Order: sequence, then C-alpha cells, then structure tokens
Amino acid sequence: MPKKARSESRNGLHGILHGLAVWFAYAGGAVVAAIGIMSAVHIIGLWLFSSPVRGDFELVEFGIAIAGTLFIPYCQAVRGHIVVDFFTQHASARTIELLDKFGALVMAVVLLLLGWRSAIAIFSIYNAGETTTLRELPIWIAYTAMTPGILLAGLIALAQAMGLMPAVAVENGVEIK
Amino acid sequence: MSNIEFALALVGGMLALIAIRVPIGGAMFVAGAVGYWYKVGDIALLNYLKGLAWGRFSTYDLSVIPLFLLMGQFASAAGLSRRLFQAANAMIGHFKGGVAQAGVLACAAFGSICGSSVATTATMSQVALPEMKRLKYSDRLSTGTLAVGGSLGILIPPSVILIIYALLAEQNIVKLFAAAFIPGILATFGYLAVLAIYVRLVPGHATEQPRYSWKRRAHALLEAAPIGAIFLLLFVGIYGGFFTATQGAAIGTAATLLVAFWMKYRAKRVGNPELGGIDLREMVRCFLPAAQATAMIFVVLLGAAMMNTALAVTQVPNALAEWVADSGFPPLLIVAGFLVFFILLASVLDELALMLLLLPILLPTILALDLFGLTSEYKAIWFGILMLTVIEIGLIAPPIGLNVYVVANIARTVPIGEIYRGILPFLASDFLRVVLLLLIPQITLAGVWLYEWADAMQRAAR
Repeated sequence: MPKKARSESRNGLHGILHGLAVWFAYAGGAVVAAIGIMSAVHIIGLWLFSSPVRGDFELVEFGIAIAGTLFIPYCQAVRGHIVVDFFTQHASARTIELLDKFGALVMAVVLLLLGWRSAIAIFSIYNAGETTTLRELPIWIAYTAMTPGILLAGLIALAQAMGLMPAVAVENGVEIK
Repeated sequence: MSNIEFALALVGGMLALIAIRVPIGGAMFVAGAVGYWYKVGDIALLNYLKGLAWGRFSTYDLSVIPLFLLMGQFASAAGLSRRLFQAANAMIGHFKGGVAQAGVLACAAFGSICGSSVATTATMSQVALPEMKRLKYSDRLSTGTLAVGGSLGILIPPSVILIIYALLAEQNIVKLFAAAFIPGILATFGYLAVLAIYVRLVPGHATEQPRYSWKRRAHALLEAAPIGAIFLLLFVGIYGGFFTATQGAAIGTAATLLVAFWMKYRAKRVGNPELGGIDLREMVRCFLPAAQATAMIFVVLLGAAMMNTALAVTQVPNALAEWVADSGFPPLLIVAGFLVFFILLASVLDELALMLLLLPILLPTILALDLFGLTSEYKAIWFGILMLTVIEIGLIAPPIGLNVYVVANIARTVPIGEIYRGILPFLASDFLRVVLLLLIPQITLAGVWLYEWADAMQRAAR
C-alpha cells in the first residue's frame, strides 16, 4: 500500500520540488564552475601576464555563499544529511519512518527560520548599502540569491515531515570520508 | 542554573536529538539557537540569524570543498584507478605479495587527487580485487589490503576531512595539507612493509608473478603519466606557494576533466570502452553527488557555528580548557587520553560527526596545554593530523569500519569477518604511526616548515 503511494507521488508536488532542487543544484554547479574558471584565469593571468583578476577573493566568497545555499535543497530532497543511526539500528521500519519525519520537521524549522531571517536581511543590507571592499559588489544581491535555496530546502523538509515526499535514497551519493 | 550545567544541558539536548536520527547539522543548530535565545534573548537571536548564512558561507576557503569533491568525482568516473593500478603492478607486481603492494601504491596515488577514502576504496577495489583473485591471492589478503589502502584517500592530501578540520579550527588549509604529507607517505610505507612481512611469515596468501618486460612497464607508466602530471602540478603549485588551495583545486579539477575527456576520446577512437574517460553528459552527472556532499558539509558547518556561538556565551569551553591545563596531568598524556576517548566513541558514533561535536570543546584545551613549546598554530595543525589519523583508523577498525563495508559491497562472496582478519596486521602499523606522530611532532610539522620556507621565498621573489 505505501509502495503505491510512493510511486504516485513521484509526480505532483514531489516531482515539482525534486525537479526544482535538481535545477537549483545545477545552478549551484554552474556557480562553482564559474569560481573555478575565474580562479584559474586569475592565477594564469597573475603568473604569465601579471594581470590578475581584481578582487578575486571577494568574487569567490560571493560565489561560494550562493552556490552553497543552492545545493541545500537537493541534499534535503535526497536526505543526504549526516545522520547517526547507531542508536536506532534495531528500531522497526515504522519507528524509523516516524523519526525521520521528525528529523525533517527539525530541518524545516531550521531552514525556514534561517530563510525568513535572510529574506528580512535583504532589505536591511540594501538600506545600509553594504558592499564588498574592492569591487564594491552590493551584498544585498548575495542575500537575494541565497534566500531562495534556503527557503526551497525548508519547503522540501516540510513536505517530507508531512509525508508528502517519499524517502528517496541518495542517488549515487558521495561519501566524504 | 550555572554556566556549566547550562552547557551540559545544551550538549545533552543536542546528543538526544542526534540519537533519534535528527540530522547532525539541524540538531546542533536547534540546541545552539535555544541556548542563545535563553542566554541572550529572542531579539538578539533573530538578529544573529540574519547574518548567519552569509557570514558562515562567504568564506574563501569553503570553495575548495565543491572543487575537490568534483575532482574526485571526475577521477573516479573516468576510471583513473585502472591506469594507476596497472602502472604500479607493472613495476612491483612480481615481488611476493607485490600485486597487493601495487594496490596500496595505486591507492596512495589516487588519494593524492581524491579527498575521500570511500571513493578511493570503491574505485580501486573494482580494479584490483578481480586481478588479485585471478592471480590466486587470498580473499583475506586482497580485501584487507584494499580496505586499508583505500583509507589513504583521506590521509594523503587533498582530504575533505582535513579541510573541514581546517575550517572548524580556523587554520590554513594549505599548511594542514603540507603537514599531512609526510604522515601519509609514512602510512603508505608502513602498509607496504606490513604486506612484505606478512606474505613471508604466513604462507598461502600471495603468489609470485613473472616480472614485466621494460617495454610493458614503459607503456603502463606512460598511460598513468597524465595523472602524475596533475599531481605534480598540484604539488608544486600549492606547496611551492604559487596557488591558494582554491586555485589549486580549480586547476586540478580542470586538469582532471581534460584528462578524462582525452581518455574518452581515445577510447572512442580505438573502440575500447575499457579505456575509460568521461564525456560531457557524464561530466554533468558528476555534479549532483558533489552538490549533495557539499550541502551536507555546509549544513553541518552552519549548525556548528550556531552551537559554538551559544557555547561561547557560556564560556564553558575556555573554563574547561583552563581547568584541564591546570590539572597537573602531563600534557602529552592528556592528548593521548583524548585520542583514546575518540577511538572508543568512534565505535558508536560516526567519526566525522564526532569530530564536529568534540572539536569546539577539545581544541581550546589542546591550545591551552604546553606541548613541546609549540605555538598555537602548530599545535592546532599537529592535533589535526592526529585526529585525521585516528579517523582513518576508525574507517577500517571494528566494529564499524566504513571502508570494510565498501569492500564487502564489491567482494560480495567474502564474509565481513574475513576482511577484518585481513586488516588486523595493518592495524599494528597504524598504531605505531599514531605513537610516532604523538611523540615526535616534527614528523608532522616538517612539511609545514618546508611550505613556509617555500612561501617566503616566493614572496621575496615577487
């Protein structure tokens, strides 16, 4: 019975949220690629032509902050967070499912809270007119680019907590250890 | 409630959440946020949260994480492991136990472009296990060797765990990489020595193979040369003070991708898919796992930032550090005690989780101790390498050695117990290495001094 429900919910809400998460991840990947290319251009320019990219440090900082948040929805959608399962090894599948819903709820609260505060911060940073030092990039732009990823991840976690998104195993996930 | 009771309540609450499968980053965040709210107030918390994501993520050094993860993904997907193993095997496969030693060497080489032990173990096992089986090496020796050899993936830089340590301890990533080098080489030689001794003492585990002709050796080496070139580029660039870690990671990732494209091009032209490589489509597919792992780390860093801020308000980590430093115990004994404590806990908790949870409490204590008269920076670097070594042991040691499960997943006919039996002799060399690193910090710091010297020369020349 639950199996059927799972295959059905591949479409609808789950499909939309999962698809969005994947596209956010690709967008983040593009930002990382841009950081990589910029860093390479910087170092080649510095050593061969003595003409580095001005403000490369702050460009990287801008990029990585945005890319990082764009990756979170995908991580949430595939349940890719670090979880300790030692203490629940012998728990029943039903218990695990309930606990994982609770875990998703915690993540939803955390991410939505953070997303809400970041959204508020866009305006205060905009009004304060904060910019990076060298290139004078307005920091509110970074906040604006960071907020959607955090909020989408929060929504996905909320959907998982409400049982609207089935458990998906990490698709060819990578271990960092 | 006193500060100490309060800090204990925070840590206890966090552990309770973690025990019931709440993601670690979320558990740390909630405990930290509640603590901060209680101590400093709700308005302060809401204000703090406004800048938290930007403040934590807009860090230059964080960018090495997705780049090195991508580089490892490309290297694994392109099948660079096969070339490395074949080259090592052509050179030393004829010794008794030489094919297993070639596996260790190839793991070390792969570890120098990949920051993950699990990835190294998986990709190397797929290549080396069938070959050892064909040459009548015992299951015990071959699986044990691969599980242990794969752990060189995190010991030899780049290492994702070491990057996380550097970020948490606020240390220079390049210096930590430089520090990891000599211990990594020591580990490799330790494993090679264990193999050489083991196959001679215990008969029946390895066979002797004919020597390769120099023509075949030259061919195998030439096939692996591009990987050697990537390593050299990274090595000279980063440790010579030419690149920052991010720039090195960017250039290394680009170079790995180029090699992978070139391999695919050749494989298509010859019509032999065995030659590996990746095309554009496969390249794009490498992005998603890297994205997931990056976010996993970022979320944890976010939670750790919240938790550390709350703990700092209580001032307990500093008080604890002072108390331990003034306790009169020999400092080295305290460090050794920490490591033992860590190893014991690692049989219950995941090693990475453990490092994240313990570091905010352990590190101030280490820095407060008088250890060989080292500066704070050197103490933090040295302790980082000790932690890394202990984590590496946790990956192969019973009861839950992650690498053992990775190998078991590929060698499905070999029981887990048999793999652990294969690992046991290597643990002796690991133990010896921890003791050496603990007693002689110069082994670790020599690499750092060398890097500092090269960097100073670089600056003077500019």
